[in-house]
Formats: sequence, C-alpha cells, structure tokens
Amino acid sequence: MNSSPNRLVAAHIWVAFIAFAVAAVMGAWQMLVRSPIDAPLETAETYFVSVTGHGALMAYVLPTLFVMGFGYYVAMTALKQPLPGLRWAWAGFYIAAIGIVMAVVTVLSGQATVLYTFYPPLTGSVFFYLGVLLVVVGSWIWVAVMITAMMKWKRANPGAAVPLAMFATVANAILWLWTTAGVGAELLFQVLPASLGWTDSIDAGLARTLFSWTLHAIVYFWLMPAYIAFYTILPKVAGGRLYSDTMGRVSFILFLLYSLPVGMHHLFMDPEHGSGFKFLQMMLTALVTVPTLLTIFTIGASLEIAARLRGGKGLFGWVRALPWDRPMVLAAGFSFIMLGFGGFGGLINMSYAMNSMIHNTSWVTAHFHLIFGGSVVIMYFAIAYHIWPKLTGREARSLTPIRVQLWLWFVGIVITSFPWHILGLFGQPRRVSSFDFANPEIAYWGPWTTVSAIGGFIMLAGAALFVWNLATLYRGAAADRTMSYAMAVHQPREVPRVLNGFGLWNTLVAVLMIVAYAWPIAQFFFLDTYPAPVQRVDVGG
Amino acid sequence: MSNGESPRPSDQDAVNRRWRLWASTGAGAIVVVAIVIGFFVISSRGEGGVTGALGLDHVHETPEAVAQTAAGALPTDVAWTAATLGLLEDADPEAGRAIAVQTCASCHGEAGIAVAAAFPNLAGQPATAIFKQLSDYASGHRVSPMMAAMAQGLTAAQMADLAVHFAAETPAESIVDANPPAAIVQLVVNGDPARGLPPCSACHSARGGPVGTPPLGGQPAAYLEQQLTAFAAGERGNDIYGLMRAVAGMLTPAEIAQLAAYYGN
Amino acid sequence: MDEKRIVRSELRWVFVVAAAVTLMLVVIVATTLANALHPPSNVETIDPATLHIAGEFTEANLGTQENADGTVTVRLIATQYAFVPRCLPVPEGRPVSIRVTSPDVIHGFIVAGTNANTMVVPGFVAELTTEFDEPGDHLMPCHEYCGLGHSNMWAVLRVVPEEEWIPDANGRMTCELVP
Repeated sequence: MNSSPNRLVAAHIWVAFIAFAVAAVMGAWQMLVRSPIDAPLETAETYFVSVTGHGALMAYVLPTLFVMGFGYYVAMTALKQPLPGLRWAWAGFYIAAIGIVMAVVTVLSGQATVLYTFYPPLTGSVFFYLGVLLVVVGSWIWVAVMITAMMKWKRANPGAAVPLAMFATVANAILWLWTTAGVGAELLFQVLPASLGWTDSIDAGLARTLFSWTLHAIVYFWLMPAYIAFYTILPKVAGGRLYSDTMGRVSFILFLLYSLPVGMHHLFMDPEHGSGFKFLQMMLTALVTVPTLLTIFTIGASLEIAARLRGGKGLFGWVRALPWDRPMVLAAGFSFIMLGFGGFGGLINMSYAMNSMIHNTSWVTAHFHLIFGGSVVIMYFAIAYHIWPKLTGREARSLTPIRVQLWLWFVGIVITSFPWHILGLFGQPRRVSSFDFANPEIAYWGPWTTVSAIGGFIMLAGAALFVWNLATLYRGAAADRTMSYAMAVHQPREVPRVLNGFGLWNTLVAVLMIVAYAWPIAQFFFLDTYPAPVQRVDVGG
Repeated sequence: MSNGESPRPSDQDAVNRRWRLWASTGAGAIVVVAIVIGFFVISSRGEGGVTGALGLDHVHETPEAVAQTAAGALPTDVAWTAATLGLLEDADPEAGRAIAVQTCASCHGEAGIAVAAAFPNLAGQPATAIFKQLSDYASGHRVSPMMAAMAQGLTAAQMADLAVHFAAETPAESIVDANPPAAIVQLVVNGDPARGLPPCSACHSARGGPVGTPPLGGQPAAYLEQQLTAFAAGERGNDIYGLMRAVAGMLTPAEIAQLAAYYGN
Repeated sequence: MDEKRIVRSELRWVFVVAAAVTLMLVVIVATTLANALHPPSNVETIDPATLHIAGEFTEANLGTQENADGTVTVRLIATQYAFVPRCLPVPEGRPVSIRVTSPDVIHGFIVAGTNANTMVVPGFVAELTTEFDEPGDHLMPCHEYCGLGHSNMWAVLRVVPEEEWIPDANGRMTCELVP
C-alpha cells in the first residue's frame, strides 16, 4: 500500500479525534457549570454555546469522520485492492473539513445556539446548518466509494463471499444513507429556507418527526465500527477465531433493517402523534435488541474459543484466561460491561409507559453517554490503537499508557453516568445550565451532580491521554503494516446471495419505513397544522 | 476445530437458509401484533379508538365559559400571523421615512435617536417590536395619550412602513458601564434561579430573541427605568402572558435602577 | 465442530433471544395498560401565533379550573421563559387534566417524582391526565432546550389536600387561595 491512502485514513481519524478532544473539554466544563461548584466563564450563553458545540462535534464530527476513515481502511485491507476513487475520497474529506470549520466557527461565535438537534422554530445562522450538511455530503461520497469498492471486488471475485469486515462496512454505509434522509429533508425543506429568510414559519411537529427518523438510526451508525471490531478484529487479537461468520452477516443485516423504523420512540411524550404509531415503533424498537443479543452470543463464543486455546478452563473460568493486557481485549471487556448497563437503561427509555418517569431527564443523558461515549468510543480508541502501528509503521513504545487510558475512560464514564441515572430518576432535567441548589427541594441533587462532574474530569484526562498516546507513543520498533482480520471457525468461500449484498434487503427496509413513517409524516399535510413563527438567534428579529 | 479454509458441502447447507423469509416474517409478525395492540387494544382504553390512535380524533370541546374571553383582558391585538409578518415584509422604508420626518422626529429623532431621555431610541429596533408597540398604542393596550393620538392616525401598513424604516437605521452606540455591579451582571447573563428570573439577555439581545422583543442596549436609562417600574406596578400591561409584569414585579426598585443603568446610556 | 452445529447453536440462541424480547414486550404492554397515564397523544392542533388573542389559552383563561363533574383542568402556557401561571394548584388524589401549549418554541415539563411529563410543541395542545397523591409543592422544570433562558424556567405544582381545596365561585383555583 502506498502512503497516500494511509494518509487519507489518518487524516480522517485525526480530524475525528481532534474534534473529540475539543468536545471533551467542553463536556467537562459543562459538568462543572451544572454542579454546585463555580465554573470559569459561566453564563447561560457560554453554557449553551458549549452544549451546541459538544453535541455537534461528538454526534456529527467524531463518529462520521471516524467511520469514514475506518471504512476506507477496511475497504483497502479487507478487500486487498486499491481504493477506487481515491481522489473522490479526498474530495469528500475536504468537503467535510470545510463544513466542520464553518459549523464550529458559527457555533463558537454564538450565531447558532440551537443545540445539535436544531430545535426549530429556533433558527441560527445558515452557516451552521450548511456546515453540518457539508459533513453529510462528504460522508455521502464515502458511501459511494464503499459501495463501488464492494461491487468492484465482487466483479473481480465472482461468487466469493465478501469479507465480513467489508460487508459490515457497506451495511453501515447503506444504513447511513437511509438515516440521513430524515435530517436531510428537515434541513433542506424546513430549516435552511427559514435560516435564509425565505420562510417565516416552521412546522415544528413535522421537523421533530423528520429528525426522529434520523435520531435513532444514527446511533447504530456510530455503533457499527465497534461491532466490526468485535467480529473481525477482537477474536484474532484474543488469539482465537470468529465463532460464526454467518451470524455476523445476519446481525449486520438486522441492524440495517431494525435500527431505522424505530425513531418515534423519541417522540413518546410528543403531542403531534397518535398513540398507534408510537406503540408500533415501540414494538419495532424491541427488535433492535436482537442483533445485539446475537452478537453477545457469537462474540462470547469466539472469546471462549480463544480462552480455551490459551488453556482456559471451567464454565466461566475461561474468562480469566483471555489476554486482558492487550488493549483491544481490555477495551472490548469494558465495552461489553457498559453495553450491558446502558442497554438496561435503554429498556426503560423505550418502554411506552415507564419512559414518562425519565423522558428528557439526566437519565437520558446518562444512557447515551454510557452507550456511545462508553461502549462505542472506547472501541474507537481500541481500533485506533490497533491500526496505528500499521499506518505509522511503528509499534507503540509501551502498552502501559494505553491500558491506563482505557481504564481512565471506563472509570470516568461510570462515575459520570451512574449518578446521572439517579438524578434522572429524581427528575433532574437535562440541558439546564445551573440549578438553584439553595432550594431545599433539589438541594440533594448537588452532591450527585458534583460526583458526576468529577467523573467528567476523569474522562477528560482519558481523552487527553488518548490524543497524547496517538501523537507520541508510536515510535517503537518497526511494525508489520499488514492488517489481517479474524478468520471464522469456518471461513466461508461462498455465502448465499442474500448474505452477500444488500439489494434484496433495501426493499424490506423501504417497506418497514413506509409502514412506520408514511402516516406520521403524511398527517402533517392533511391535518390543519399551524406552523410556528421562526425565531432567530443570530440576528435581531 | 477444522482448519477452517472451506466449508464442506453439508456446511454450505447450514448457511443456505431462507434468511430473508425469516427476517421478513419476524418483522411482519411484530408489525401485525403492534398494530393490533396499538390501534385496537390500547386505543379502546380511553384514547378514542382507531381514529384516536391515528391522531385523527383531535376535536376538543372547550367549555363555553373558557372559550369566551373578556376583550379588555387582552394584552395586545398583535399576533405574528403570516398576515402580520407579510405586512412587515411588504413594507416600504422610504414611505416610513416620510412619515417619520413629519410625525416622529420631534421626539424620536429623524434617524430614530431620541432627543430626550424620556423617549426610546427607535433606530435599529426590530421592525416587529416597533410595529407591535405602535399597534398597542393605537388600540389602547399600551397607554399613552400622546402616542395614542399619533398611532391612531396611522394605518397598519403605515405602521409597518415606519417599523421597517427605523429598523434599518443605525442604532445608538451603547455606552458600556466600565464597572457594573456584579449582581446586576449576574441578573443580565444568568438571571436568578431562586426567583425564577430568566437572564435579561436571553430575550433582549441584539442577536435575537422572541419575535417582537426589543434589544435594550443604548436606550436612555431613564426610559428603561420608567418602563420597568410601569410593568412592575401593572400600569403597563401589553406584554403577552404578563411575562414582563412578572419579571419586573420580582425586581427590587434598586435592581430596576441598576439594570436601567447597565443597559441604558 | 462443523458449521452446521455452529449455526444450529446460534439459532437455538435466537429462540432464547426471541423469548427474552417477547417477555420484555409483555412487561411493557402490561405496564402500559395498567398505567393510568397515557403519553399525550391527542394530536390537537392550534395556531401558536394567536393563542393570546382568542380561545382557550388567553391569559384570563389560564390556570386551574374545577369542572362540574369534580375533575380538574389546568390550562397552561409554556413560553420563553416561564410557565403561565407559575404556580399550579391541583387537588390531591383527583383526576387532573393538564392542557398545555406554546406560542413560540418547543418546551416540555416534568413534575419530579410523578409520571407527569410531556413535550410542548408549538402548533399542538398536549393533554395529559393523571392524579397527584403527595401533597405539597413539586418543582416543574422546563425539560427541553427553548433558548438561553431555559435553565430558569421552573413552575411549582402545588398538590392541595381536599380540605384546603376551596375554589372560587366560578370553580377557579389559584395558589393564593390555598390557605
């Protein structure tokens, strides 16, 4: 492999993690503002500017750029062919980079304090929305390159099974295309026209519905690199094999199918939808647990194979025989623990009635920080640590700082998010900059909020050490640049067509999306709905 | 464990299953069960049957006593409907300037900078804010004999013309207090959670805020103090839902004076 | 171990997963049916621009109203940056319908420790019916970002014991009337 494609991968991943580091500083500061402790620069405006920046960087920049970079890497190393459209890929990178700069400058200048979820009729500067849209456009180029790469490989290898890592990456690319349709429509048809001054009112109910289309599936887009690592990297690093390649394919297909028609579980408490479709999407939400539970079994079995090969004994005693000193294994262990707790919390969120106890409280913040910030991002770290020697050609000088960093992140997120769950049960609303802790009714929230803030700073230390590690640690012995993925116990040469492509599955996705969303979206066009006046936050109005 | 290079024919059978049929059946079954429960079982329990579950059952009967509103209790007649916003969009600033020279300039200045501290500066105020106040003077929701006389002579279109004219003028320079009291800065940027006071700057910023809200920087301090006092006493009541009456009512006279000094010139 | 056995073991696990998911759904459906509160799903549209001019949500109509049948309706506006009224009296242990909408942007509220929770979306009236069993003051924060004053948007829900519940002749009740 020549160096240019490697630079492409590294450029994406660096941008992702620089955005992450900036957002981590913001996040820790926000925790301080919410706590009884005084924070520097604390005002309502700085807080919400920071929340907007933290959200946009963590939700849009970090995962998108990481997924893109990792996707390009997988396409080259799993398919063992040059990346088709390398120039296009670079163009996508620069488009996204321009978008990021545009959005960040706009947010930091206080021209778009609308949070990353937009919340029209609040309307900020058009450059914020354009910036986000450019990131999406850049990622669409990535989608095209991924699909092209897989098709090219299939033509060169007729009938052969697409390597699982690439199959999963393309599943994520297609999932992403479906996912962005909702927010894309909201931005193009509602938010951008308002922000350009072409319209002076916005149908807030429709906007929320379109955003919900994106809001849950995007989480699975974020999650997929972690699952790709579980299936195709972890078993090898642990010293074993993937238990079943087939079930890996099935799981990734189920993610594509079931993570989309479920977004309305974010709207249970909304008045603009009837109970019928809320309930329907709640039921469909239950299905997204299936691929995760399948994964836990398959990866559990794969790790058991590894452990027993290393001499592990006993029904569960083999767990001790795993090579926990290897960062990928350690990170995956942490990831599974956090996925367990986070998944349990998520069951409450998706429950039609119980959700009313915790909707929009700190419980929700806790849930997605545990799942995304915890289980997913720790796997982003592990993936970066794993491929860095292959990108730089140098091994890490020591694994100790890496292990310390993973521990810091795990401990930090647990200390941050467990008190948050409890505060959520107390009824603490999210997205509030400061509380009147002098009020006896909520005074007892203070200590929990403080503990949570301490966790935030442990996470910040973990974030800083991570960037430091990536920047300085890989100056050790010359490394083997070959990336190889885990083999399955039975590595397939051929698989049925349905498990080797997505054409057939897209039809089913379309059917499910029509069932789930056709009426909820269409109703806004035949009910007598009243749009709300646009409210600008960037210029007087 | 086998060497794993190639599945034997029997293994191929293991993989060749009707994956698509199963996935479709699973999803289809869930959808059917969900429709039965969501649209029939749950909706029969007080959510208005199938039409209720679809969200079509949305006629609410407002009790008559509630539906009727005493006209005198209204804070304003202005609403940010498409018609009102359209009036402002179509307004002609030059026509507004012509009226301003004739009618407004003696107090508010031709370019919207007031000639005395008792009068507000209009330059650079949002058109929505100027339009609403003119309308409220004309309808009597904001009481001022002098302004009522002026405003009642204007059509809605002329008020809109005036509004866009003054909105386009350069606002008065805001003279920033070098050393404002910390508690006042706190009220402006953070509000006071103990009293439920939102930060003044959340609405009254030059950057934007709720439609029809004036930014306060650069207004004559005397005018601001007078208005806050009037809101607090309930003498001015053209604020929608009594928001300013409530806020001003919670401020002490000293805070009112200091806030006026903070924002005003 | 051949592939057939592997896939078969996976498929056996699928049945376990299916059973777990079904059990989970049964619990959710049961709690939904047993729970007194349904999420606000009334899909009732209203023009946010003219709320203050005419109809149910004019300033004079807001607040707590005891209906002829003894139930109580609370009409409420969530606006930047306050709930109007700021203090809501409700009787202990009686069905209370809260009807709320917004003239400007998206808001929401939760009454801590209860299942009273809704989004407030301009253009729609959210209605939820529940009972409050714990007398005293309960904080009711806005729980959705609505602008820079969001953090200061809190109301008080005052649950009033039956003996102190003395509405005026028109059935109106305010926090000032609570002895």
